[in-house]
Amino acid sequence: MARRDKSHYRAALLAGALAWLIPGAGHVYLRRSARGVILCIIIHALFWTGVAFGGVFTVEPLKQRWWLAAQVGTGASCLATWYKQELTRRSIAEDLGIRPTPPEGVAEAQAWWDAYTRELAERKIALVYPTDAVARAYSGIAGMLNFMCIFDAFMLGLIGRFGEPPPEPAAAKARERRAG
Amino acid sequence: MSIFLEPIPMGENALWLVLPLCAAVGAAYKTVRVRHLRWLPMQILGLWAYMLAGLVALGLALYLLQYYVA
Repeated sequence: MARRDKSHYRAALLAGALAWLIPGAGHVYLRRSARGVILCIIIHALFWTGVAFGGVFTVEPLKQRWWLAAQVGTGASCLATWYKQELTRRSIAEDLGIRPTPPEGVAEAQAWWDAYTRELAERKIALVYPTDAVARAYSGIAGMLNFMCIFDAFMLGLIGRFGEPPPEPAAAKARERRAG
Repeated sequence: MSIFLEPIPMGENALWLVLPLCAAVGAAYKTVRVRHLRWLPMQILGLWAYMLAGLVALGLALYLLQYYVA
């Protein structure tokens, strides 16, 4: 019994980790392949539509940390976008001759943000209203939906439920038929 | 303009983008919750209609609140 519980715990962790890394992969691992593929398509489509709307600064760790916390739910997609954003920010900072992150002091940080946002606007990659709201809502909600899928995959793994639910008993089917 | 790098400018019509967003939320939720996948399309449609009706009701209530109270 103890060994089975341990193997369920391992399956749950693996399902949760896979579900985080590639949305839908946790359900595929739990032999719910059709659900996994549907979740993969929906969550990726939502996240990448958001990034297509908002550009590279849809994932913004300096000023939009709450949105980032939600977006991180999409796993590898978010990490790839975050990495691209870091590269872009470092390249802009290098061109301007400033640090890649804002300095400590209030006045220095303000000067840094002024120079940085001006450059973003000049390069036409500044994310402004209403595009920022739409882009971050799409990508953030994709991440939050995947947190729900991660929880579902983890719990299914924990109780050792592999595969689709079994067909209902005949009585339940008959009741359903009567109900129309 | 390069997609995924530069943002796409939007106007006030961006509000319509709530429709596919609600559909995606409903689809992901019902994909996890539904017992049999053959029920999925109708369940998604039902939840989508619920969400939109709820949003319209909330918007209307807030509009009336600010119109008559504020």
